[in-house]
Amino acid sequence: MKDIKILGFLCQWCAYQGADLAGTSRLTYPPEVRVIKVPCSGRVSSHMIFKAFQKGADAVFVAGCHPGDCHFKSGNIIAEKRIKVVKSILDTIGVEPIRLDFFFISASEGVRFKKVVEEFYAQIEKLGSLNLKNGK
Amino acid sequence: MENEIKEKIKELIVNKEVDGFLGLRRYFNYVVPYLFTKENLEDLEEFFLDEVKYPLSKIILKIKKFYPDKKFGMLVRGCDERHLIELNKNNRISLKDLYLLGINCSENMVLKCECSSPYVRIANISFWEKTRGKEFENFYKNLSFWIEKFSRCIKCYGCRNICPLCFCNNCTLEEEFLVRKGLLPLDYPIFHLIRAYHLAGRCIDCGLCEETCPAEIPLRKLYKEINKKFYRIFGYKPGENIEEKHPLEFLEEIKEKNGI
Repeated sequence: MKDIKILGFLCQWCAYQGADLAGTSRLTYPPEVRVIKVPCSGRVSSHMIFKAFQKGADAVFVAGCHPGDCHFKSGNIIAEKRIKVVKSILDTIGVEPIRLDFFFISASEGVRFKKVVEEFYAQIEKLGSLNLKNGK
Repeated sequence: MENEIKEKIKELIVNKEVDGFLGLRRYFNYVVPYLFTKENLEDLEEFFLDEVKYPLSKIILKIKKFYPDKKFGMLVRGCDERHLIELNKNNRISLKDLYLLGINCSENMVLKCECSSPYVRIANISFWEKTRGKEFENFYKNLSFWIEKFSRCIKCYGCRNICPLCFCNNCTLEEEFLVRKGLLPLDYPIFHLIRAYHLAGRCIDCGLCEETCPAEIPLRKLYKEINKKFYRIFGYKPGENIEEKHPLEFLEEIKEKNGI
C-alpha cells in the first residue's frame, strides 16, 4: 500500500450500490480508496471537499447517478457543476485539478466502478502525494 | 462639478425624491461616510468628493436594515454599482428603492484601482466623462507561493467584514467544524478556499479585501483568476446584467422542473 489517500464520496442510491456490487462480485480495486456514503452526490458541498484536502487527502472523487436517474431529480447535476467550480479554485492555487473528479456510476456498474477507480488511482499515483500545508 | 453634484443632492432631498442621501463628508480632517437628510442639510457644505473609493454599498445595506421603507440616494462608482446589482440579484436590496448618483472614475483612479470597468451603467444620473477600463496581465502562481501567502493570515476576518457581498447572517468561516476557533496560525488554506468558493461568480473585483488585508495576501488577484476560469466554464460575469442568474443558483431551475 502506497502512501496515497484517496477519498470517495459515493451517492447512496447508485455509486455506493455499484461499489457494493463490485465487492460482492469479488472485484478488487485499490485499497488506498476510502469511501464515504452520502445521501446524494448533491449533498457533497465544497466545504467537505476542502476539508478532505485539509485533512490530508491526496485526491477526492465524487460519484453519483447518471443524469436523469437521480433519486432527488437533480442532485447529480448540481454536484457536477459544483465540482467544476471547486476544480477551478484548486487549479488557481496550484493544485493539479485532476486530483478532484466527478463520475457517473449506476448501481449495476460494478465493473465500471472498478475501472474508473483504477484509472483515477493510476493518475494520482503518477502525481504523488499532496502536501497542502507545506505547499509542495 | 462638485457644486453641481451638491446642488443635485440638495434638490433631491428638498423635493423629497429621497429621504436621505449617502455620501462622504469631511470630519476633522478625516473622510467619513455620512447620511445627508432634511435635518442636516447644512452639512452638505462639507460634502467630500475626490479620487477615493469607499465601500458605501456595505453601509447602505446596514442603513436599509433599520429603515426598510425609506428611499435613499447614494453616491456610486462603477464598483459600488456592480455591488448593488449583485445584492439585488440576491434579494438583499432593491434597486427600485435607491436613487443612484453615479460618478465615472478618472484615468488616475483606473490605474490606481486596476479597474476594468470604471464607469456606471444603470445609475439614474451620472457625472464626469467615461474612461476606458484596463485589462491586466494574468497572475499565475504555484502552490508554494499561495501557501506562503495564506500562512501569513492572522484571521482578522477583515476581508469578510469589508466585502459587500458577504451578507450571510451565519458565516461558514465561523463554523467550528471547518475553521477551528482560537488557533493561530489558522487552518489554512481551507479558510481562504471557502471564501474563494463563495465568491466564485460573485466577486465583482472591487479590491476592497486586498486593501483591507493586514497580511497583504493578494486576495483580489486570487478571486480574479478564479472568476476568469468561472467565465470560461459558465460564460457568466457578475455585476454586468441585472436579469442574468448565477449558474450555481439552482432553486428556480428545480422549481421549474418540478412544476412548483
